[in-house]
Amino acid sequence: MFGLGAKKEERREFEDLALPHLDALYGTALRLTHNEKDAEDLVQDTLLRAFRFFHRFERGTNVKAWLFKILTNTFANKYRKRQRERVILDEVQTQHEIDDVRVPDPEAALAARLVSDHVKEALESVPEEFRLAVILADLEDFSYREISEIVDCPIGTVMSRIYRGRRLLQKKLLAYARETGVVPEEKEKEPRLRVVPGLKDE
Amino acid sequence: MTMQCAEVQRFIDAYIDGEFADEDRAELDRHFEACESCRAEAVRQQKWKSLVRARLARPSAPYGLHARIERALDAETAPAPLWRRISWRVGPAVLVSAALAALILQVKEPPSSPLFQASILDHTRNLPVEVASPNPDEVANWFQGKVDFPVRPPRFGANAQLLGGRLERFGTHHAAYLVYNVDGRKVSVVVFDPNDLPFEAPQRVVVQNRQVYMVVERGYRVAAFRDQGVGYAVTTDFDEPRVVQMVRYSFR
Repeated sequence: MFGLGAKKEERREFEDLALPHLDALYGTALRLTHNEKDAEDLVQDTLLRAFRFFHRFERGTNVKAWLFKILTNTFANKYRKRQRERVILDEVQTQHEIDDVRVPDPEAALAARLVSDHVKEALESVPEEFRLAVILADLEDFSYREISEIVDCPIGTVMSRIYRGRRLLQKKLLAYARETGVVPEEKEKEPRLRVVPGLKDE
Repeated sequence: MTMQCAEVQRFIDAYIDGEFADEDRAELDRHFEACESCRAEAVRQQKWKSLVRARLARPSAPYGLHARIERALDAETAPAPLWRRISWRVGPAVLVSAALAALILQVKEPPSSPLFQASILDHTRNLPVEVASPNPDEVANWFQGKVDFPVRPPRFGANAQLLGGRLERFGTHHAAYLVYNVDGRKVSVVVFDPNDLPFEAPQRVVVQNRQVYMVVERGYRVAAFRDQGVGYAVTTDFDEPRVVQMVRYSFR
């Protein structure tokens, strides 16, 4: 099939194209698995699969999107099964939570110096498919069309997942800001803040 | 107006993400000009997006993941590594211990350092020793003041007996040459300052998290490694699992 030279050439081409995205793949893997060891395994599995199917990759198309598609598929097949029941439960709850949520201005949160750990933790609390959409759009700069190809769903679904994912994340971050006292209780009672829908029942 | 606002709200994220073509974008812009509430929400969402992005720096892939992937790709493309094929003849126990002890890495590096050739030459020359003793301390003491690093003769196990040593010269640098009898076969060890003699080689084995460079030439195998800042080059005619076993023992 391949001569040894051709195989070597293919390997070199693959590494040149794929390995520059190692940090991006690992970052997303870590945010999907919440666990460094699983994230490393996931990235390794992803790149091995990508290499096996490299002959199917259409040269000149978006290699990062192609790798992320393999990453999310690998994750879905291998790592997500055990979490599936929990995710379904989360979604039911989520639907309820985000009904007409409008989250106030983040200036309070900014002032609170919400640390990265809070944002990371808040992101982890967002159900997986919403979280993935937010990560792909906000952290990896994929367009909605690319995301729809990566996660294999219509653009409209991508749009609503990003919308919901962000509102859930914002709500969580606001809760942190309140816990750390940046949005003080008494201030919260001022009418000016109470008019913001979605906060009154907190 | 209310219906229109509800619809605009749904598209605010796509708007700040730059997903709309010019025409649609212009339509939303017109709405924002007229509607303060929707405009404020768009600004708010843009702020949130920047906040999250700023706080979530992408973690770097851990050190070692790259090498791990290279190894996985090696396994995918290359035939089984040599030591694994040899081990079939050596027996399952050795196979398992060798597999646990050593992971072969192929690193793209220039050819081996001259240290390896010099070590093999030393090993084959059969010159007399200057200090003859099975006692590691006695041999160590003899080297004191002759080389500017401590010579601690490594221990390779119960079947290995130190015979003695002599002072050796590598170019302008001094090194300690030690000779052992291991299972009735001669084993040579050159103890040197790794700052004087670099010892990179294309093949690398990891033994207990330490890098051991391997070179096979003319039927001899040289394993070079660093221990407490001192370099060691072990020359034998043993196979790789046996050499790895010896090196691992010396790390105790």
